[in-house]
Amino acid sequence: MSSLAITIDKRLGTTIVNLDGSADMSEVHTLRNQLETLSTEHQNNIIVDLSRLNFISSMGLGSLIQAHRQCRQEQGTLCLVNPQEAVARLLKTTQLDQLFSIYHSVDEAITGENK
Amino acid sequence: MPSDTYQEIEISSSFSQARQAEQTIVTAAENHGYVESDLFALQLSLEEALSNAIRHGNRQDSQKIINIRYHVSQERIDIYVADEGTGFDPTNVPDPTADENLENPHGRGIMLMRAYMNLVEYNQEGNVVHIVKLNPKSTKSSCKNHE
Repeated sequence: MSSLAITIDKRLGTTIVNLDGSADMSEVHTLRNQLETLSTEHQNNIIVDLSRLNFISSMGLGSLIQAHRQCRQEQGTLCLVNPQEAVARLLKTTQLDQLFSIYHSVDEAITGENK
Repeated sequence: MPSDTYQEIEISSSFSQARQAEQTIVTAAENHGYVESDLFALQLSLEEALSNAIRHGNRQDSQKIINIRYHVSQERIDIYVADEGTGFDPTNVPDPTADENLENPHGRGIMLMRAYMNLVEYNQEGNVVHIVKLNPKSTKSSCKNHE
């Protein structure tokens, strides 16, 4: 059974959240808690790297939306990087590709180029 | 009601138990030759049906159960998820893709099931959902009720 591993990196004042595995209903609390911790620490410029995330459902998407709103309230941003094909289709189906800025790489997300 | 060709799983209102049931059904589909995109659709829709049953139907009351009946064949997958809640009107759910709802962290479950499955239907009370996934590789697939 696939679980969710979360690692955090910092680059140029930006917090990079790397998701690896499955953000399913038994794991989504881990993602929600991590994003809430970052908000409490006033880390409001966040890049979520989805390149190793193979599953997410509406509960996980809800956690990302909540964090996105928190970042914006603090004049920050939360953007997404390199979703796998199935997750990219999910973002398109929900039209959340219109809400989140989605980049091909962390480097591009940091510079804000080539969305 | 489903015939005795259906398998049955009963769980409490627990996300970890729901996840195990979900994996059992996804594995059965994998063993019947469904491809990766179908398995993603199945897992997603099961996750939405089960999390709705836990959170909205049973209101996370661990004393309440969720009954899952499923049948997997090479042609189609039928799943019934029943909770102990009072039900709801599935036609009265806001469109989560509307501009004014896009930032709402909730309310995408039914839309996703409809997007990824071939059939999503509720009983009159709204506390049992029946979802169907046809195998696009099968020539015998049909959405006609399989009972």
